[in-house]
Amino acid sequence: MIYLDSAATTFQKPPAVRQAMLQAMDGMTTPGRGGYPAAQAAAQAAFRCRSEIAELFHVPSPEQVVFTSNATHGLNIAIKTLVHPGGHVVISGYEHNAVTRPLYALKARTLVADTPLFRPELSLAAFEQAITPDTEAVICSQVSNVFGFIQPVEEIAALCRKRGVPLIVDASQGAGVVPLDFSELGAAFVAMPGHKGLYGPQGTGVLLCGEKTCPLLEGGTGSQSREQEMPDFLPDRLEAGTHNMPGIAGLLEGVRFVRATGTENILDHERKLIGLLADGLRELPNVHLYTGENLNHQAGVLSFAARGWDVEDLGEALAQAGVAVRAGLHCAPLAHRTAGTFETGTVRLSVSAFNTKEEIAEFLVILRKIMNRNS
Amino acid sequence: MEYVLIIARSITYAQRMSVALEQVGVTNRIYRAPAGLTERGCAYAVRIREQDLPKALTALHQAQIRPVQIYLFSHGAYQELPER
Repeated sequence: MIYLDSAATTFQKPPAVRQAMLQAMDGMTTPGRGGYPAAQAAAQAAFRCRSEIAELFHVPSPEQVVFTSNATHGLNIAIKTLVHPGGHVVISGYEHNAVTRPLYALKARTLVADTPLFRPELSLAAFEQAITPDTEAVICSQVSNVFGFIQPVEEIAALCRKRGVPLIVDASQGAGVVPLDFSELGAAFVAMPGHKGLYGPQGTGVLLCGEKTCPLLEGGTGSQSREQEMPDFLPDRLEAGTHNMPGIAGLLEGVRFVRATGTENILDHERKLIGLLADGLRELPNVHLYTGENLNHQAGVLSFAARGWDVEDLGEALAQAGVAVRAGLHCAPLAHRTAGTFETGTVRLSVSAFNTKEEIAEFLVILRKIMNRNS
Repeated sequence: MEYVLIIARSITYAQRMSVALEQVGVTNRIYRAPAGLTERGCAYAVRIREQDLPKALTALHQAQIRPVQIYLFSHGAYQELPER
């Protein structure tokens, strides 16, 4: 299989991830529940994971790194902490349903700071115009999960600091690929999955917290157990219940892989592959690519459509030929509306550190064959 | 045997304490805090030698980690110590 769906989940993981998960199954219970070796081993792994993530994203202290089930979980905590029912929120035009659905549920007055694809220079003005004195939060994805568009979150963060509005960053597509400095951003929250660019297993995620939080779940934390209120300190306040220790142990190894490889090196590798894909796709007739003038504002995600093809049919034909891609709306109808692809959707190709130039070449041969067959 | 227990509000804070103490060469170990020492229930403690306490407190202060309570175990009983 040629796997080009890493924007959903990086399927190929460093071998150490699996090994760590197996070791966790054999030797770890959960942190904060006892002094016996299996509980201590779990506590050690969890703390190492928090610490290494804190170092990767320049988070001042490990307790500000909260484990979640995925980015959606973290975004729900962040949004429901900051946004009151009916509150005013400004979001980018490239947000995922993980952002828009919680806002819809809150009946938030959501204003979209709408900018064209790959034009980050227009984003700041759009946000500046959209923020009002009663804006409760600004929410912006670091990288569009559909188009790979890297949004200027540093500039948007500076604007938010200036206007005194809390910022939530959805780093689902950027974490581990595009550098992110939590301290410099001064964001209220940054949510990310563990199973994409951090190369951890599914069912893991992280919320970086810069503000006081409201728990989404209440329950046991292994701390202050005589009290019925949730602890007022992190990470316990947001981590009710038993931890996903095999997941966290795997995530730790994924993060170590990212740190050892280097975020910039991964981005550089992915950009090269996306460049090869773009060059190859441009040679095919009737293919429309969604890219900028260059790849400076694009991470390892590329969307395209082909005239005469339903995107789902093309995705299915590729699947039958042994290529994994994602077609449709990618759980991000807003992003498709913004880009003008809401009616048709796109076929999304997304790469990871484990994809090779040879795979890209082979994919292009397969795609050409499929498209010729249909013409 | 005499030792000092520095109570932390959670396992994560105890681990932060442990790292800060290790960095200044204070040997320590994390334990579940004795139930009788924690008013709010379920906490962790970092155990150190009594003679390391001044150095430990300086290290924790520099790392901006505030102990919940500090106890000296001596002659079979715990005695609460002031933080400074």
